[in-house]
Amino acid sequence: MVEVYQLFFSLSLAAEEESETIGLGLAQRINNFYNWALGIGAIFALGIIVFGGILYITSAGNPDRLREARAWITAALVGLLVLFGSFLILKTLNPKLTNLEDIVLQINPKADVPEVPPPGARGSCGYHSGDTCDSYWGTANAPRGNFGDPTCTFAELPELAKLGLYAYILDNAPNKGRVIVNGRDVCVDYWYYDLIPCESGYNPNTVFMGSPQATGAWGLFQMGCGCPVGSTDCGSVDWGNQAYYAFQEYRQDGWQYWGCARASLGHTPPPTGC
Amino acid sequence: MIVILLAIGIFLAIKFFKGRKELTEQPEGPPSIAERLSSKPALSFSGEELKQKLIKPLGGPGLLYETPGFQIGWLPAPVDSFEVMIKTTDVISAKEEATAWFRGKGFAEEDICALPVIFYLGWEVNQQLRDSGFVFNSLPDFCLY
Repeated sequence: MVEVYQLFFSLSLAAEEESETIGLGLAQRINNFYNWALGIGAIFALGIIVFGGILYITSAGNPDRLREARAWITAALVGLLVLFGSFLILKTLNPKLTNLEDIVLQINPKADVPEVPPPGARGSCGYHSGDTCDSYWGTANAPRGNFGDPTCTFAELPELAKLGLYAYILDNAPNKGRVIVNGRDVCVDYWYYDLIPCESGYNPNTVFMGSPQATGAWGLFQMGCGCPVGSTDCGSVDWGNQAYYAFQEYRQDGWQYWGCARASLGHTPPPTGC
Repeated sequence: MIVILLAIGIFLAIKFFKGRKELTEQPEGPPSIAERLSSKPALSFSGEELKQKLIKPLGGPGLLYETPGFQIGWLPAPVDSFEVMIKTTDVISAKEEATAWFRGKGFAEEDICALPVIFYLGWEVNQQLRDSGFVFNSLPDFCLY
């Protein structure tokens, strides 16, 4: 027990030491500035038109002042046209030109291989029967079994295992560090506090035999069974690898894979930026 | 000429502001716990003292209290939360009992909201309520954030 605790404790510490604080996206800030600058520019131009109008009204027929008033109004209108015309032209050419996006570095999946390979053979959805810590997975012993908890870390030490799970997400989530607010990593928290409890109630042994997958939805992230070669849709593994495959799946398909991330199904959608 | 330019400007301005609305529109659905956590208020001094008194005997993550209806566990930083697993379909009563346990330990409502205390449904309950349309609030019901 002490060893397990030390393992998770060191994981947690490592996660704390290595976690990097990245400010809110520069691109988003530039986008916001651009949008507001357009609005302010428009207001400024309207102000000049009003000023030109007043000049025109108070010119009392003076040709110089009339000319000056017309010049102000024309300049403001041309400015307005250029301002919105450029926006429209850029948007027509390519909408991305008016919507700057952050550069996100893709982590090399090969560098993200878990220390322990998934138990059992890929390509099968078989199981080892029994309700002991030696069992791996299977419909026969789920959800009371331990297919996702072969070392019984979740069954016997759920709080400790959950801390290890959080540390794993903090270390490995593909979207970690994208949104940091008041020192909290919002995307990491979404995985841990929103998605996992909604999908499985933090139980790595869960199996839901129903739609949409005939072979069931498995584990913490309610993913597929059997781990076919080339697929990341794999939940019938131990809990550490369930998280590993969930992150692979996220890289491939994004949040749309999970029903619990869909507002259309009445669930909480991921925070903006995750 | 001025009228034409003005008409074009108004047209473009309408188009621009309509576009802005689309850009700032938020996805539907309740706010996530992750978002609420990032805006949670700070724990009061007395609340912090009570929290330390409660978790000190644990010496790390562990189970604080358990009934047939729920269990309260503590997870230190970086999680830093009391996590309450609901084990019964009588979710409302279980939440009230768990909240009463924190009150009984001396925590004010504001502190219970600032701990944070996070509720979640155990798997069996989650399964049973899956298609019932029941909307589960992961926070104590009186918390405003």
